[in-house]
Amino acid sequence: MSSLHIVNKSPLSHSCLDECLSCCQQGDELLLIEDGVLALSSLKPQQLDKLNALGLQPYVLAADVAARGLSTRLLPPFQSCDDTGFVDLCVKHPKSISWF
Amino acid sequence: MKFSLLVLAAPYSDQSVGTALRFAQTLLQQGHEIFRVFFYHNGVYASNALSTAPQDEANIPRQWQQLAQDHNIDMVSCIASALKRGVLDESEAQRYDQPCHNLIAGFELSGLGQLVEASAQSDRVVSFGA
Repeated sequence: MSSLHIVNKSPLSHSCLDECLSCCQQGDELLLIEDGVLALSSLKPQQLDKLNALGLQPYVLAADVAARGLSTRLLPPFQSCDDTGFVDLCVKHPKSISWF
Repeated sequence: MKFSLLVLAAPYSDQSVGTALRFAQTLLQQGHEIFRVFFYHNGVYASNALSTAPQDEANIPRQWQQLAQDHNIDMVSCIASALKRGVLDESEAQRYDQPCHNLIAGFELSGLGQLVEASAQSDRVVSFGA
C-alpha cells in the first residue's frame, strides 16, 4: 500500500525530510509544502541519492514555491504540483503521512 | 471520495491552517466530500469566535465557519485542547463557572473519539501539522 509523504518543514532547520526519507518505500511519493519547498535550494547530495535510490518522485506545491521566489530553482527531479494536484496525490495513495 | 482533515496548527502563527483551508476548498471543488475537520492542539484557536482580524486581513475562524456553512461540514475542536486554551462553549462555561463562552457557531467541542470515528468513516485523513 503506497503512501504520500507530506513534508512542511525546511531541511535547513528540521530533520523531517531526512526522517521521512528513511521511512519511504518504493512506490511512495513525496510532496514538499510550505517551508519544505526550501529543499529546492538546499537539498544535500545524499538526500538526492536517497530519492534516486528509492525512485521517489518529489513534488513541490506551486503556490509555496512562488511565494518563496524559488521558481527558477524548480529543476528535475522536482515537479510542480498545484492545489488540485495535491488533492489528486491524496486520492492516488491510500495513506498520507505528514512530517512536521 | 470522503476526506477528513486534522488541523494541529494555530491560525496566524503557522502557515498550515491556510494550506488546510485551501486544500479543503480545492477538494470540494473537485467533487469530493469532507466528513469532518478535527482541530487539535493549537488548531483549536481556529474556533475562537472572538478572534478579530483587521479588515484587510483574513479572519481564519470565519473562513472555516463559512466553509462549514456552505458545505454542511462537521467541525469539531478537541474539548481538552480547547478548554485549556480558553475556547469554551456555553455548557462548558457553565460547568466551570466561567463568565462567558466563545466557541464560534458551527463548531462543536468533543473528544478524540470523533477523530477516531472520522478515520474509520473516511477514505482519507490528511494532517496539517504545526
